[in-house]
Amino acid sequence: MSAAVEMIGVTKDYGRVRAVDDLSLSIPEGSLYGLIGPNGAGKTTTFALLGGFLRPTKGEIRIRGRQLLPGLPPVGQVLSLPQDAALPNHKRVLECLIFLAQLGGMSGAEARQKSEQALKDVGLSELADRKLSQLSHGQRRRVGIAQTLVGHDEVIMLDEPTAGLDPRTALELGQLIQSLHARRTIVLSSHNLSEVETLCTHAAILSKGKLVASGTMDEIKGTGQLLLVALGQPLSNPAALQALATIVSVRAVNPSPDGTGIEIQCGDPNLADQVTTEVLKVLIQHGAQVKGVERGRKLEQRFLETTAPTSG
Amino acid sequence: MSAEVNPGVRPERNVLAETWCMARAEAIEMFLSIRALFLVITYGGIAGGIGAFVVWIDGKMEGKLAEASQKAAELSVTEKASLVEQITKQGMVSQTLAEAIVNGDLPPLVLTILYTSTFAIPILIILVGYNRIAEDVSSRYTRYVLQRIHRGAYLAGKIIGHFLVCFTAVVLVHVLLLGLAKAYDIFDLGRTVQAMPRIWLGMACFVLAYVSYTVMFSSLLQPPFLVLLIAAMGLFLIRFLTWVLSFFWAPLGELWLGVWDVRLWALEPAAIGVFLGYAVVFIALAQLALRRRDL
Repeated sequence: MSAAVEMIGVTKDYGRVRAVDDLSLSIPEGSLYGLIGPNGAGKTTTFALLGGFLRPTKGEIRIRGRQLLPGLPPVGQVLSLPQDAALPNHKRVLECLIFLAQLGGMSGAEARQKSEQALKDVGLSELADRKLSQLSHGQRRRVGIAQTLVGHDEVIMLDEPTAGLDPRTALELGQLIQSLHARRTIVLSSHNLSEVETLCTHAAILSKGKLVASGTMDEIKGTGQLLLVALGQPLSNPAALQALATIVSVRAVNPSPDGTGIEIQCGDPNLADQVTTEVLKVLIQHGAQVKGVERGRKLEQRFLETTAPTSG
Repeated sequence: MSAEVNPGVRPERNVLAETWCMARAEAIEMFLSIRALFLVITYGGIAGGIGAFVVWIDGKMEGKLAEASQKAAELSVTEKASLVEQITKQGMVSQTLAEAIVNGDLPPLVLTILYTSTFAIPILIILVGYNRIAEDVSSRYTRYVLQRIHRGAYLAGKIIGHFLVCFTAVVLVHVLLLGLAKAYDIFDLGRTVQAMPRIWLGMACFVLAYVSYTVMFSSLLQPPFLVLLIAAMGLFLIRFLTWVLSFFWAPLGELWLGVWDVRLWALEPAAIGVFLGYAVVFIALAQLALRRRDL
């Protein structure tokens, strides 16, 4: 998979504050990439750097192989929903989208058609003639998302697209993002980790401006390398643990302190399915009450582990 | 919600098309704004008021100004040359301007009105457009726009839009005043109408220089109010400084645009050069600022 977006050793300083620190990322073409991290981790700065709105202090950024040069942003390569950027209040919704589409090189008729479709996609058709000043925060956010749809094959970057939206709209938006992903590379940031976990194929975790984890969602969560078994009650037969340790590719078996959970580490992710089956067999043979099996950790847990204050 | 949008084929990027799209939107928005109306009313009021006053004075002098102008136009070539020399010697006007007046190309009444009313135009140009870039940057609207067009096209579009609005407003005021003059048969309209294209060419250079001046500050500074403050104060400060410097060395007094505007109406090449030169410098600084800054 070729890289749609690459950041190589990028650093961004605001005076004496380092917002992004030697960040190297590769966002594969066609991926739905989640950028997550606590407040102040550098996500928004990273988005602004990728959009060409900020100049990196150091490092190199490439969009589809083309290096971003200072003052020459990736025009026509990226369409983003920036955080805290306002659309002009005095303009009407459809008029605003048509203008932005025409700036992108579309004819009047094409701009209108795409803008109307984009408004339909974000569920705002009935507000097309409203002034932006008359919209709620959530509705304005949706207009912001709609403007990313009136392009061509640009990489779409959504900085916290669901912030401030009600749960139903956020869910619908998630579905929209997923359907868009069929044709586009999408990068999104969100504090809603379950949303990122559900939607994204890849993710990167930032902390204090540094990259602390990145890869496919399975790699980040350790889906192929970690098996978590929940038990109804602690194992009565200690031999079960020894039997689990003998399964091919199992590296370690760690029971939880209260005995109602077992963490099994696998060496080869390709054997994860086989290991899961074997583990269940062994446990059932030893009379264990299996409540549930989970492959890998929750993204939330990985997030907490990697961004804990001690992790740097 | 579902995405039906087909990404389609991306069109070739064309900086000229980007510029035109930006300029058109900018001009339409500004034409429809209250500020364009303010420019027409204020400049129209000032020019009309001064015009009425000059015509009244001329009437009190029993049309002596207009009569002298008519007589000058009827002089022989040698007499005209001598008159031009006399006027130029007094140091009030340049040779080209003196020739334009003596030859009747620039009616003195019109020149007087222009000379006394033009002082208002730079400040009105600043008032009309001081926020056009600074506000986009402050609100970060530029992040929506500048992912679609190049920064140079954005800047050029802003300048063209601002220029079109200000220049049209100025020409509109002139046309309205000429209409009034015709309705009341106030002065030699034929010669004045003939002089107008030359005046408007000069006015185009004048407006472009001050639009570029405004755009430069709007690109360099934010918030918008600071742009207004610094740009307006700058006008007076630079004028004052060059005036003070002229006491030390006279040519320094001609460093700023302020002393060149009258020569512009006679389309003096040096005056056009000064105005266009300043416009180029202001635009270059604006482009440099916009290109280098974080948005």
